[in-house]
Amino acid sequence: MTQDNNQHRASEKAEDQALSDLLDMAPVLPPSANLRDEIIASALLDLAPDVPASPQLMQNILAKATGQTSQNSGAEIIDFHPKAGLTPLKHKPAHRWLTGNSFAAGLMAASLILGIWTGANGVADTLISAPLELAGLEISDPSSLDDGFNDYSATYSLPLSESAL
Amino acid sequence: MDIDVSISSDEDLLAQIASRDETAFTKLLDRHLENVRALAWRVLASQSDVDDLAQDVFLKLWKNPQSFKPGKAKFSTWLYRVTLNACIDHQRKSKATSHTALEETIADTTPTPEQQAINTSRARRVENAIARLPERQRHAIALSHFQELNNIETARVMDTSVEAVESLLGRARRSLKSFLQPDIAELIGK
Repeated sequence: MTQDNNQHRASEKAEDQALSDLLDMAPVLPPSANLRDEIIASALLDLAPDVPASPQLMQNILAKATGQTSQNSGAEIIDFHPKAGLTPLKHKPAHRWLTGNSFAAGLMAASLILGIWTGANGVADTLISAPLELAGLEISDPSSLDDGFNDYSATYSLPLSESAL
Repeated sequence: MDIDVSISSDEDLLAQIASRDETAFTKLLDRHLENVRALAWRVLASQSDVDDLAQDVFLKLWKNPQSFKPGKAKFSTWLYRVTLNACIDHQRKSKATSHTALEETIADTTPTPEQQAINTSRARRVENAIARLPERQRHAIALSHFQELNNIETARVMDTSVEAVESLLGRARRSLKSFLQPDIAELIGK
């Protein structure tokens, strides 16, 4: 009985030793070539001074924005003056023309839709005539608008029967 | 020419780091970087993550050296605990425990082609057996066997009792013997 126990213990001890030997065979992490230097570089970057706080800067900006003279002798706000010869960009005439006519065309389309939807020709005709005039289209006889919307060609100021030709 | 041969303690270096002494930081880094990497590698099993994690650990130490309270534990024990916690956080975030990088490393570190074949397959089996252990058992084995901490230190790092560590190590060894039975039998000549 005791001999069996001793054998069992010896066997267990041998297995423990074999396990330790096996664990020692586990691969070892190779050293990192650059990690040490990267960490030191990052730490040194952390030492770089921050931008110093300027508590008076906001006051100066506000004072300048409201047209008051700054009472502080700290940071000075320098006025911005664009260089001579540089003028703010403005819309070119062609751009303005297109914008105006687009607006008129939009109004015209809206009134056409409104006219179809309501069936009230009088309202639609009034709405149509205004953008046409704005767009520079000539309406020879405003009374023709009374002929009824269905007979009116907004594009050419002609009855539908003629414009279809 | 005077040469400073005195060896500063970790605590002394930390005090110097608190006053932004980068030389002290470099010394502490040289002393502990590989241990931190080794522990992280056993736990994470991914070399790229290991380096990122080690960098985080040391930069946090650089930014806040006062987080270590002298007298409560050895610096190395505290550093292992910080590293282990960082590993656990990392694993919870990524949930990815790929052993691809590990296998590549095994192939790189073996010497001759013949020995390589034997060692690589055995090393891989050992590593896979460790990876199969439950998380806490793996941490205990990593700290106890690979970082060579005693049970008291391992308990401190794992924030548990010595008895719990002994239990974890006992279960881990039984499992490992079971996983590696053919290799153990071969080694003891059965």
